[in-house]
Formats: sequence, C-alpha cells, structure tokens
Amino acid sequence: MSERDPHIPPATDARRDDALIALFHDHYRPAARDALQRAAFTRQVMQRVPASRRWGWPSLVTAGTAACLALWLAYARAPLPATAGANGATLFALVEEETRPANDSEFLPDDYALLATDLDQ
Amino acid sequence: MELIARMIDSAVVAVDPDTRFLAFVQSHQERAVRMAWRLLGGDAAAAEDVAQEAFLKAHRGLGDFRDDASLSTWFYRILVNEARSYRRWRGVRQRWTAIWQPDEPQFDPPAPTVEGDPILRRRLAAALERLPRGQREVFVLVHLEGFTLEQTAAQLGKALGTVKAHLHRALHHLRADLQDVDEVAAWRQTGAKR
Repeated sequence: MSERDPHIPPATDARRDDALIALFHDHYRPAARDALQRAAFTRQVMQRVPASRRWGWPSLVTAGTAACLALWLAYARAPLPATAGANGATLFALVEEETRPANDSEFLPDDYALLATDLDQ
Repeated sequence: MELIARMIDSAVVAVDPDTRFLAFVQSHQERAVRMAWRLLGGDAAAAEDVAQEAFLKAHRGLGDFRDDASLSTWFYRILVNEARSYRRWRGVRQRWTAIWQPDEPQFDPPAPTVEGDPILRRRLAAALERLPRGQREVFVLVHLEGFTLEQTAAQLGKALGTVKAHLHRALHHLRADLQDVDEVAAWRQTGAKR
C-alpha cells in the first residue's frame, strides 16, 4: 500500500478546503474601492514621490559621504605653507624659553633671588 | 499605425520613469491594497498606508531592481515586508497600551468597510490572526490572492517545499479552528452543486 503525499489532502478534506476558501473569498475581503478612491490613492503616492526622492536616506548618506570626502580633500591633503620651516623654528625657541629651569635667578624678582641664596646657605 | 503608437508608448515609458511608475501604481494598487488589508486583519486605513509605503519604497529602489526578476514579484515582496513591519509595530503599540492604559480598547477592525457577513468576518479574521506568520502569509497569497506556489515562494523568499508545508498546515489549523462553519459551508456547497 503506497503512502499518501502529506501535501495532498484526501478527497473529503479537499472539498472542505474549497468550501473554507470560498468562505474567505465571500466574507473576508475589503469593500470595493470606487474610481475616486483609486484616483486619490494614485495622487497621494505621486505627490510623495519627489519628497521621497529628495529626502530618502540613501540620498542623505550619499550627500554626507560626499561632504566628508570634500572636507578631507580640502584640509587633510592640503600642502604645508612655504613658511612652515621658519614658523616652526620660532615656535621651538619660544618653547625653550618658557621651559627654562625655575631656579635661574636672572628671571626671578630680586627678593626671590635673595631667598634662594639664603636657602642655599 | 498601431505599431507606431506602441513604439511611441514604449519610448515614453523608457524615457520617463515617473510615467512608468504611475502606470505601475494604477495597475497594481487594487490588488496591493486588498492584499495588505488581508495581511493586516482587515484594517482598511492601515492597508492604504502600507500599500502607499510599499509603492514609495519600490520607487526609491527602482534603480536597484534587477530585470531578471519580475517587477510585480519584487513589488509584492516589498509589500509583504511592509505589512510584517506594520504588524510588528502594531503589536508593540498594543503591548505598551495594555501596560500603560489597560482600559484602552485593543485593535478591532472597523466593520462598515467590509463586504459579507460581519460576524462571520470577525471569526475568519480571528482564525487567520491565530495562524503563525508564515502560514498566514502563504494562505493569503495562494488561496486568497491567487498567486502560484512558485510566485509565493519568490515573494516570501522561501523554498517551494516550505511554502507547501505552510499551506498544508494553515489549512489544517483553519479547518480545526472553523470546524462548525466549515462543515456548514461544505454542506451548502455540496447542496448547491446537486
């Protein structure tokens, strides 16, 4: 005896399935839409199309990426100015002067220099 | 003459994507809204919203559309995904409403926007809602919307065997759930055929 394919229902089930599906067709469907409703639907979709094209997230992502790329090209890849060497040397001299040891009496007020002498003795 | 007119039409369609899209909306909206209505348990306003969103997403994605797939299959796949997404959010909203406002009534589709017996419709809608998602979608697409098993498999991104199994289980569950109604309907159908 051959086994029945589980996907093919027996004859009685098939009849009942047809009746069940017919029930859904008769009682589970939306009210018919008239021409006005269909036209309104089309109008609404077409009105929203330009907005979706302008502000859709893919276009925002594309615009953002392009802006970031432009900034990177403008600043990160820009060549150093010609006076960079001179400016660098001036900056180095300033830093050296500012970080000179604090016990250098030449840079201290007189009374502080005296105090330093007393402490040394 | 007819050939020339057809050539002009195809040239317009090829040149202007919006004209092509408009024709697509006009030819598919009836089925799209009806299918969304059935997938969303009979909520007419939600069905219109979901269908609109699906059309807009399709418009945005037209550039990515591969011509090897049928445009309508691709579109109905978007629609099914939109309906799923809407159902998920509706579920979340219902849970939050139940927690914070327990006296608020739960989702109940409005009766006047449907045809047929409203009491029977409620029973059918409830039985369909009780089905697992995959079974419900397959039942709606195959038996109510008339798509073939292959088209349904493509639209849902499932294997053909899975679609067949879902369909079999869906019918089994619905038969059990609507046993009394089903027997009367079968008896009536047999009587009508005699």
